[in-house]
Amino acid sequence: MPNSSLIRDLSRVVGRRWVLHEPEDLLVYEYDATIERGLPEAVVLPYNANQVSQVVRIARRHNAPVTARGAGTGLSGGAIPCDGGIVIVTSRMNRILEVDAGNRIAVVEPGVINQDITDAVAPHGLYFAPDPSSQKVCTIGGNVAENAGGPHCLRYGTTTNHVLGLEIVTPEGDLVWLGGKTADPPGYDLTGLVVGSEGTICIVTKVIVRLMDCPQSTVTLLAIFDEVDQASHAVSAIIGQGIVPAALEMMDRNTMRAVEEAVQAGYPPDAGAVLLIEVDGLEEETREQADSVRAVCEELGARELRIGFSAEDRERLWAGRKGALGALGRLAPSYYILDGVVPRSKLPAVLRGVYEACDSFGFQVANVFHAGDGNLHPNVMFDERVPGATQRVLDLGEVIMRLCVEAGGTITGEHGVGYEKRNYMSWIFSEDDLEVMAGVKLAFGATDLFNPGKIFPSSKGCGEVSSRMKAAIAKVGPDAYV
Amino acid sequence: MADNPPFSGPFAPSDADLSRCVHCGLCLESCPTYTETGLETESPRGRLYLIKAIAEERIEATPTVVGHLDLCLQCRNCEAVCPSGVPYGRIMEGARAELLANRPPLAWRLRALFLREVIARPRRMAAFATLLRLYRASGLRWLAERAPFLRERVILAPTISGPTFRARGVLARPRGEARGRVALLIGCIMPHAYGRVHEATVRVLARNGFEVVAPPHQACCGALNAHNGDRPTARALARRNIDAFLDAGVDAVVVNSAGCGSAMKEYGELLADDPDYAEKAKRFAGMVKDVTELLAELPLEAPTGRVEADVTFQDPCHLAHAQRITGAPRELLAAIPGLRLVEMAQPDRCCGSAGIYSLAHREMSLDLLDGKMREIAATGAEVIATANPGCMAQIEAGLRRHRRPGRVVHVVELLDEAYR
Amino acid sequence: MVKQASLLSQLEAIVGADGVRRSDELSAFAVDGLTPQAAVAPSSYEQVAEVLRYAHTEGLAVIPHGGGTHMHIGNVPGRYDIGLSLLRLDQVVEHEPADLTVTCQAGITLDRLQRHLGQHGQLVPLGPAWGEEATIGGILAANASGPSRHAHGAPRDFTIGMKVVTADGRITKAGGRVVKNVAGYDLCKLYIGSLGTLGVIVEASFKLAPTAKVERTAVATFETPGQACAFAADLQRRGLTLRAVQLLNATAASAVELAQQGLCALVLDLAGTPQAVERSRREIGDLAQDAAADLRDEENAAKAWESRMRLGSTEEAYLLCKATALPTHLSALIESLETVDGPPHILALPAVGVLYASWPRLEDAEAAVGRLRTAVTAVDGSLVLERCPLDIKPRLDIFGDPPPSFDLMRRVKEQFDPKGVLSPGRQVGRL
Repeated sequence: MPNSSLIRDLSRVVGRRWVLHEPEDLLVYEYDATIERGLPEAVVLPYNANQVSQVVRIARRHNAPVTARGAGTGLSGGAIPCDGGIVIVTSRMNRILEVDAGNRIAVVEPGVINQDITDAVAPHGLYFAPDPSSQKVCTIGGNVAENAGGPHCLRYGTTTNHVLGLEIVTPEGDLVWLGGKTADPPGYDLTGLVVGSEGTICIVTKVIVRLMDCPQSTVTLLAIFDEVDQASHAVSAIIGQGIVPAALEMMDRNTMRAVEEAVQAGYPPDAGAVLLIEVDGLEEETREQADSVRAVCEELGARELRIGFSAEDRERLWAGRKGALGALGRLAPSYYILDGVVPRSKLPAVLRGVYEACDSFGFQVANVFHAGDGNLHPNVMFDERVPGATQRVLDLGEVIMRLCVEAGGTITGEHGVGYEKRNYMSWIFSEDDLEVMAGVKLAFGATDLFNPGKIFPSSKGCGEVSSRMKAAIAKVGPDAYV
Repeated sequence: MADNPPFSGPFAPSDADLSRCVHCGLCLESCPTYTETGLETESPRGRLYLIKAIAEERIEATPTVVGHLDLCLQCRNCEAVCPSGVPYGRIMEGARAELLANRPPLAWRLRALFLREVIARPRRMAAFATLLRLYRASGLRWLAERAPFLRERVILAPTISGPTFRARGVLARPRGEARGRVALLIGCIMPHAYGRVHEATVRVLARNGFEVVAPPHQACCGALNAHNGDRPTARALARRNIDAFLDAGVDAVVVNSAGCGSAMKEYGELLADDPDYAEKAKRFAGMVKDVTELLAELPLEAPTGRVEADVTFQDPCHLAHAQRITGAPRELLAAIPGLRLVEMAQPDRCCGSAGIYSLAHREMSLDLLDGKMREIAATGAEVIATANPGCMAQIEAGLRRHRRPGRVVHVVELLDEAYR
Repeated sequence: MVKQASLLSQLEAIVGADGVRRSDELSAFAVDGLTPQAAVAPSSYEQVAEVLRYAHTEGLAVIPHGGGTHMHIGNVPGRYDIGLSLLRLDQVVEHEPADLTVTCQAGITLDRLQRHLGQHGQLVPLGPAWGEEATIGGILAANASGPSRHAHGAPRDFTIGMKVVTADGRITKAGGRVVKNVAGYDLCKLYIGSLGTLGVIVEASFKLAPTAKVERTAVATFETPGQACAFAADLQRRGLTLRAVQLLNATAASAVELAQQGLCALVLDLAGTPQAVERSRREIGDLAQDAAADLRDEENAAKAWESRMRLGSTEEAYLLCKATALPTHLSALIESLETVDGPPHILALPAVGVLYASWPRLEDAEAAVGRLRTAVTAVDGSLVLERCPLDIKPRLDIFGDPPPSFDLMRRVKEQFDPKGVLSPGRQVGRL
């Protein structure tokens, strides 16, 4: 039975309709876009910041874990209630509260969809720069929590570079404003600290975002190479030319083949890799940069170059990249997307290592990623239903992450540590480093009940069963928690 | 019956279909019921997960669980945006079929009964249409739609006016150079509610060089039965249509109702396990064409007249998402001199009609309709074109509900006007 | 309290004789008139850590120093025992040009780092005043930024990693050396602008920018700041290749001879590819004509920024404040600041919404500060007294009223430095 006094208290705050506790309601909040699972005891959909604050206080009183969730599109398990408890869903807090075009800022609630911000400000010639590939569905609250990136982060930075202030609810239930609309607010940059904190130190209830002017002109180039190595060298060479493109994406042979089948992008079947390079700015600037990029690619052996100036042509060039994940989705029942970063100059070596590792594990891999940032996304194809496959894929993921770290990189560039990678944290951070981070949690008053099981390494797995979980499992059956 | 394990019947969604979903969530914002409620249970991802959970016996198909599945419009917008290619429509139809076969809720049984025994039977349907015609003509509807308590409850009832389309056999001979012989699906409600659309369709096809026939033994397409889980009836209707149309010796089966066309294009799947019909069904499915699809493929006879109007186009879900046709109707509209196409925001978002959904889930249907009417109003268009009778009726109801002037038409009607 | 002799011998044991500063050198370590008992210049991260471990054990207060150019920013220290110079940690640790990143030690001066990077056609987009002396560590601790933040953002936007010695003497890491990294909390943000109150930055990694192929500067003059701001806003909407836009009020502009008496100057730094700069300059010319503003090219691009240095230097500035406001409120703020015991020298970055104002002398500084605060509050901005006469400074919080999140800031400070070893009292609310 669900904890009835908890449900009653929550209902009093948000109304009965917005407290979910039937088995089927809970079930659909046990997942995000990863392969992790964790079943909540109750799901609450507050309408405003004040309700979030009260829900957090109630959770604290009942000693119930709290996990915030936006659209549940995360790729590191950040929104999964590892220890059960309450999931706070922000989907009803989805208002754009203010657009100040003159100062290029907007104030939005956490449940607002990333793309909706851009749609709302487009009439002013502005846009919101961070563009994760889930931007049509993911929420700004989730973007803030994970410090989400996207193809155009190469030049314009990730979410943290576009958030000026936040209203948060602390783990103690206090409503506090951090930062603000103006530059350099006095005191510590708590806004910068909260962005990317994966919901472990507070719940964001309002976001002040910075908007950018839409570029006057954009040019997209597509360069096809025989070998991945050539393409990776071209990445460094372009950057070395003093050009920081808006986006610099790479797709390897496996990806190209899948894409070719799905959307007929016109990729030659024997090509090794394709680079998608976008430059933006003044028309003169983009033309000059496009010329330089073209020269670099040709010099490094690009066998074919396509260039798009009009929105239509550019869209055609992007079609393959944008449809890539979908195309891969059709190759195998499941895919596991990895997220690691290496210094750009190490791309060729690390990519070779990735292919070798996947070969030795017997999995097919397709690489489609933000090459300009050195942000790799190997997609490992597998079948969840084959016994042991999931574990072997996770083991392979670990090997690939090791490669990234050994090359001087890191374990996540934009997806977050979440539950999935917390045990890799000790590869890049010492006990002391992690202790300092734990100090931040303490300062914010976060206990182990605030988005438990995330970021910090622990011997206890999400799948390990706490006593609270046992009760939940008894309720929905033995497979509830896999 | 109650002892059967869930989803063990012949229509059960396959494990392979279900496991395609990697719950990435990219479908969420395409789902009208999710964006209305913000609830994961009312999202494609959530519903697939529930179906999976029922199949795995993690949860029981309680009335509330069934309610979540039932609130799905089956607009299949999610299917169009799914990167993994989850066959959502097939899964949902299969799940509903299984649920209808095992201890279904009373409402489901009544609905199936009504669809099977009234809608799919031409004589009873004609009688039912007469009642609706009387309801409107007598002024009863005028009264009911103004009565505070009734207004919300009756507004979505379909309008039956104008002459019923009764012709069968050869409907028209080609004008000019003959391009071929096509058969027209008459349908169940269409001839009563929108006989004028059939007439326009026949004229436009003839103008473009087609001989148009209506095989007399054809039946209702069975789409509504399938959507509501009554696969046996859907299959029976499909067999009848296959026989009727294949015997007619035509080059194509033309459909001017997107919902019917989509169902008929899927006859191959519906009858895949029927040894006598599997092959014929596949062949038949390949012959089905939406009228806009067929016309847009032609070197279209250039219209000589003009239609001076601001027109906005509502994509029927089963045209845009199920049949993936969005360009053809727009191309036809663009070919009409004088016509200005003003796109609304999210033209492919469901209007809330969804077959008999508007009657089964009135509140959700009205919420979606209200959103749609706002988008339509923002365009300033006086003519709303679409390509499906359900959408036409729903938007007409929306105009009455919001006391807005405007005219709702099928795309071929505008083309027909331009040919005069 | 530790006796000075024992303090010196302990420190000498850690950093060696050449690492301990002589007593006659201590005045260089004075902060707001307070002189420490000792000052050290460690030559390794381990030595920094050991000094802090010692101070932590003994409960001594330590203030880190770089080039000493920004030490006036911060409240009067509550206690001050040891000055900690980072100047001997002045190496470039790693620079792989193809990665467009650099890692350097905290004590390297900005100019030296830029010279190193410049050889490879790259730069770190920091541009505070006094780059000859200012060190990377100091710049980060003070969150100092220059006019190029218009295009490149503030230090928080391109600092990708740090090594920091904690108050209890542990060498820790935040972030990393790759340009994209979301592993763990982004502690770099916390250390930037912390004024040495949370840890001692000993190393930093940056995302770099390529140097522009062409640079050009133009100066437009206007009668009022309002006209200049409107012009700047118009330029921004056009997406021209502006690296920096600086507005000098009439007083500041005439002091550096950028405009005739009574006119304010808008200094426009263009940087980019040749044709783009050419086109931008042309478009600015057309717009200036439309706006009836006088426009000319300026050879000495650094001239405007010189005024920032003048307005921050001790001789020129009796009171120097940094004020922020929304860009649309900036001209109103400039106008109201000009009425305070004026006229002050003002240099503003209109698109960023930041200005620096300085007064060479003031009759009643305390009253003036009150009027400044009122002016800033009226536009919902913030005000920091970066340089403030010592006779009134102890009575003021140079940051004004603590922000709404002050309680969280206090708790962060308590977690990072429970014994108050690091620059005690210097941050907002005397943290």
